[in-house]
Amino acid sequence: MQAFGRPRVWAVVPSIPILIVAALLAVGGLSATPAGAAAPSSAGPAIDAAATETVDRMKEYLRSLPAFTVHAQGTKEEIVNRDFKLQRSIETDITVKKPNRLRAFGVGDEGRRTFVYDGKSLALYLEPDNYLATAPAPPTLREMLDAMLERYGVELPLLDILYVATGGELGTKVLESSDIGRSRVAGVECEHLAFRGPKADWQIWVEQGARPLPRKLVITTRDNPTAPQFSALLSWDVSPTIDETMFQLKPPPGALPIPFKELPEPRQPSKK
Amino acid sequence: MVLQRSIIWRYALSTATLAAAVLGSGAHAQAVVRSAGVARTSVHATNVHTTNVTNVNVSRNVNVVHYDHWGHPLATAAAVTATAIAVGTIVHSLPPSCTTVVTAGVTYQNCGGTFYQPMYQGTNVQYVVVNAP
Repeated sequence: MQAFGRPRVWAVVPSIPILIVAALLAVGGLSATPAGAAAPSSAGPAIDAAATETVDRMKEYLRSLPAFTVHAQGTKEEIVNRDFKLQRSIETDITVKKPNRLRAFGVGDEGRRTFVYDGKSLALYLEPDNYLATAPAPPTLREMLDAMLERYGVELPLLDILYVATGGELGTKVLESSDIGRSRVAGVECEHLAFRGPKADWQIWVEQGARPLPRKLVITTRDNPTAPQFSALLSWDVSPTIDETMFQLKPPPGALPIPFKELPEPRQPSKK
Repeated sequence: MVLQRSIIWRYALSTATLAAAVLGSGAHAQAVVRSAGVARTSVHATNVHTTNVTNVNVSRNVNVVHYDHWGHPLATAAAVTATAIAVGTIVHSLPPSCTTVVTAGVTYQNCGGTFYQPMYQGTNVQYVVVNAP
């Protein structure tokens, strides 16, 4: 039997047609995605009504609570060694009593921070450095959160949750959203929601049932090419025992006074 | 098949060269930045022009070494004694052996004659070199 052989020229000439086809497939977005995966370029509305409805229920519930304590176990990625995503750990306990009391205590790889707000001023105390800063603050929680952010770049822990729970709306434009489906977090059935914004993506797992609380939060930073993530597991007490002395900071007598550095004035407001 | 492999190799080479040029070799610890960025912990803050996202050290004196490429603070005693650090230089960790001074309700750290004023930049502490109070 004569040996079957293709003309030698096919083996030598670079397989350009294959490369062109591959390039076209990539550009056309026809690369295979697993069935059921949420591909943003697929047909359908960009904003998922089911996700919006679940988030609205969550916001309404959070806003109905006169007081709450939330415990967060979190990790925050930091990029070192060019592209190594170190996970920093942080555990936070926050007690809020509306309209104008807050205490937050965070223990992380970078020290222990206590925030106290009593309706008149916000104090931040850092251990083990023993630094204490105090700034006058507006009379309500939501205004205080915005004032600290805009004036000093001070972000309280779980800022998004605190802000929404005290009547605020996240100013970020939602470009796309999706209800991903049921998901179990710490033994609790939740609805897993995904949102895309201009600088960050975020995911919320909302508890099913009578208490539509966020049980897990993930924020992906998109304006950093390595896209570091923050992730927090949340547990709640929606009728905490409150004692007014919780909202008084009692630092040790030798606490060192330092200022909050003011942010430079923006050249133009950034509303995205 | 040969052509595809060579395209991949050339891309990898150019990326590595670019990274090396921008960041410097990881071997000698001339890095003044602690990290190439940190995750945002809120979405709401993206509406404000904060600088909390990156943890870049804005030291103007590039001879003062602060961090190795894993983010460990380095001893800067040698640099402190060798050169006078410009007022206004901002660092995120102090040299060893500093004495705390509180004057008129303001805290300073005196490190071998150079005075640093601690302040919160967001919720992190930074130290600014100032004239002796």
